[in-house]
Amino acid sequence: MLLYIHFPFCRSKCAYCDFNSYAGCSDVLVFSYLTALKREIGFAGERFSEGKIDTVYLGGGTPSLLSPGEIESLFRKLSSNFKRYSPVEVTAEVNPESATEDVLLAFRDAGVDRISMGVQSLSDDNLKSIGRVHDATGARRAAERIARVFGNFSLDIIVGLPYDTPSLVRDEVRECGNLAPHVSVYELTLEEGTPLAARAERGEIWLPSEDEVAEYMELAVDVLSEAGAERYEVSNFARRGYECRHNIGYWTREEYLGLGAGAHSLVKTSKEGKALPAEIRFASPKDINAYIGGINCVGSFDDVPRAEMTALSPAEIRAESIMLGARTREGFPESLLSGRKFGRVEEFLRREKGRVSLTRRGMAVMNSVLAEIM
Amino acid sequence: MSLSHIRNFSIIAHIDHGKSTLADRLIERTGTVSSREMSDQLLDNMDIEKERGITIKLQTCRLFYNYKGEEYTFNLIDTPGHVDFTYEVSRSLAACEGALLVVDATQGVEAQTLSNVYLALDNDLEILPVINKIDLASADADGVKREIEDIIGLDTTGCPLISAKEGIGVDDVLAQIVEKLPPPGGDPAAPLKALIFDSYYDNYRGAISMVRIVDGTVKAGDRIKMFASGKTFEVVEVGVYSPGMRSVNSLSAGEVGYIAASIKNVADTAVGDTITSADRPAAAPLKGYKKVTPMVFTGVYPADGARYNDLKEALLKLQLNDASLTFEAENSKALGFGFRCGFLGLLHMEIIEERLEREFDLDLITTAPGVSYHVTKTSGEKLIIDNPTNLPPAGEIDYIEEPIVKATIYTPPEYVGQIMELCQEKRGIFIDMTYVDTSRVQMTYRLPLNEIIYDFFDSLKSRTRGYASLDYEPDGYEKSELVRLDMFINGDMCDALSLIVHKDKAYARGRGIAEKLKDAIPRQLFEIPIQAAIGGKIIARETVKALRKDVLAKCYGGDITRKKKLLEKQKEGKKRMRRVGSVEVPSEAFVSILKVGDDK
Repeated sequence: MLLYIHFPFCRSKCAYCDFNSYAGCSDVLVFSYLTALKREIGFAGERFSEGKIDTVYLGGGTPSLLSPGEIESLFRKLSSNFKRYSPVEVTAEVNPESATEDVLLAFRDAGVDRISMGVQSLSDDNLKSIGRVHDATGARRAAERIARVFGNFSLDIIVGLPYDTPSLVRDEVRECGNLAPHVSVYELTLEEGTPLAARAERGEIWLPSEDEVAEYMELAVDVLSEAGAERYEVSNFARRGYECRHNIGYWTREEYLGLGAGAHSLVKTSKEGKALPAEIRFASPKDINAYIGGINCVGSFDDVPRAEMTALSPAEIRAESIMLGARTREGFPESLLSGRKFGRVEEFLRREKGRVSLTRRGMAVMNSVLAEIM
Repeated sequence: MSLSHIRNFSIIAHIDHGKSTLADRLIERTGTVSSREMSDQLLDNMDIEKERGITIKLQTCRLFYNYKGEEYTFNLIDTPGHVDFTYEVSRSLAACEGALLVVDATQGVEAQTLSNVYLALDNDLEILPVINKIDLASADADGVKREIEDIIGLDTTGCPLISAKEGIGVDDVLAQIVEKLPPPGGDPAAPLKALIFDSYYDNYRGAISMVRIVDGTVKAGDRIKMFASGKTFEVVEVGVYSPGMRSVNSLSAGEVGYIAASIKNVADTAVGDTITSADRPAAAPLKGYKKVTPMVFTGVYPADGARYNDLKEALLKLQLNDASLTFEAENSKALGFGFRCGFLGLLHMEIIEERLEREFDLDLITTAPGVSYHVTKTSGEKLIIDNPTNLPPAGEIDYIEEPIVKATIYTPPEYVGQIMELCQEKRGIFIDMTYVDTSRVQMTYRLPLNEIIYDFFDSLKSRTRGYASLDYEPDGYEKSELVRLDMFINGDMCDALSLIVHKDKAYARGRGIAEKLKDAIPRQLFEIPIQAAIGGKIIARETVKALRKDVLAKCYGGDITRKKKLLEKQKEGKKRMRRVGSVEVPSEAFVSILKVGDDK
């Protein structure tokens, strides 16, 4: 079972971000949140006492804002509450400005063996335009600090930012690929309601065209491959053996438990007396106070209020398997297509050894391909 | 009721000159409706009428007016003001002895002022000019009076100067209706003769005939006969509109009202037909109306193909109240099953489409409006073509004739140049130009109707800053060099986009549509060529480039529900697309190409 822990606090909210994160919260709120989170960990430990924890991922928000003491106590809570806690990978997300040596060492001492840092760009103009707290130099220094403590870490880059040019993208991706054994490259998505989307709407910023962004992504794939990092998922690149076990678990539909505000879970249960195993997706309330209140007024995991809860039908499970599998180098079992062929769309598919994966061009237009084959 | 105390009249005016507002004031001032019930433009029942400030269907209303101690009954028949609805105007005028001609003191005589006056004169009506909007700063009552005398030849001595909006001069209008408009004639004792000037379907009472009683008397229980069909019915109710339906004991010669006789089929109450008594029939019917023929045609399709039957039901219902709407089933490869609908004009078309969408909650795709062509084949066979897809191959056509209209345009002199240029572009033939006075010019052109319905009206308005007014009437058919313009999407012809155009216009239209389609069709997995062709010869080409990027961003923290929703939305969107060959074309594309115009 994979374990995801959400820490939804940030120093400031980036202009493109629509994740479940909040800036400018009081220490009291953070404390109450951590208290509730530990209470939920306690519930989960009881409820899934037989569950073996394979990977842990502490995401955010900005988990590097946690103090060394908070880090120590959070992970102690995890290892002491899950009876079968022997993860093969423990990742923590950090941001450059808060990834101090103290914090990194505290993570290492608490059992973290993989760091994922949001660099986003190595252009100061870009960083400023999307409201990042750090500059390019800050990101480089942080990457060096991480490399001194961790052999395994990942750097995130966003392409499609306002000041991107082909040479900028080529250089920053190459630099990241040389620094880190794992790089994630995301295309900028303008999410409704974000300041960046509003500015783009008003014409205050100019963003690269769809075709340019597609070109940047192609560049990134090439440059990273030269650096020895192979694309193993639409946005993820790693040298052999450095693929993120936790994220692969999402794409292969392993069971996972998300703890914290707005965290999602996929749990496969076999209810007593029922023949069919049920697969259930559920999520906690996104709002921090709603989450804290919900946890504090119940006494067991099954009573925790959920923002959503869906039992999956066999058709949904099949659709999810295709949708998620298509993101990966390994693809999905060909049997899921029930022998169907898709005319010209086949040129975006690779059928090999009973599995179907997307070609490089297919990856770029995945949504449209999925709409044809699902 | 004594005939000498009845006045039947209409209000006629150019659009926006204040006809419906004056009607409201007359109703209000005679106390027909309490001020509590008063809402603006009382006679305009439909939401569309109120919103657009126009009258579409004619409406009638009975008013009581006390003049010098005697009570008079007024039957006011409100009429549409737009050129498309000339036919409805002529019907209501046939039920009257007089008409109030409302002229805007700031605008003067306009194109439809004149055409409505001609209609009134055709019906031997007494016309009472009323000058409206005298409260406005730019009002020029004397100038407008002069125009009415010079252009129309009506005496304006003592004519009411009013502001319907402010209620100024309304009493004067009421008094002059009594003084100047003649009472109806007719013999209440003679055999019944009632002219049906409108009919509509009421869900509870069946088909209702709106009638003017010319001779005789009718009351509930009478047996009536329709001259046209010979069918007989028993009268269930007679009544008047004041302005809501109100039953009365009887209707006699000179009166206006309605007859309900449990008539199931609205076709049995044909507008223009005469109702007589089944037991004591009149010898001959009244002079009816000539049947209107639709001038503008378009394909109307449900955006959701599954709603074809709903569309059919809706059209049938609208047709019950609007005999000028015609439709027949047609089938398009791209759009599926739909109807070829005929309308009186563009406004009529817009209004029907809007009513279908609003009152029947339908999403529609309409093809470009066209006209009806007369095609003579080399074999000598003659065809009437109102759907471009049905045009025979060029080789089989001897010649094509297109409908022509005579257009009258009123304009301030400074726009004469622009209008001439516009008419020339639209293949117009200059007939005449006269200076009405120093500030207004009347221009007459013969123009192909298919140019008028394309974008003529909008261009005229934009080139004259809204000052010019237009009226037109059919003026026969003429031979013309017309071709069929076809659009190909990825090599497949899209029948719903075919047009019949003049050969000199085909190139520009083809290029314009290709450009619009290129913008309207979203990029897809493969490159899509778009071509415009005349008889197999490609005249324009555009390409929708293949999609390069369409990917779900990161699955954050295992939250895949959002991605699932996104994909579902994408699949939902596909359902709303129309397939032309292997290409998905959004419904909006079909609509957007209708707007290829001067703005390109």
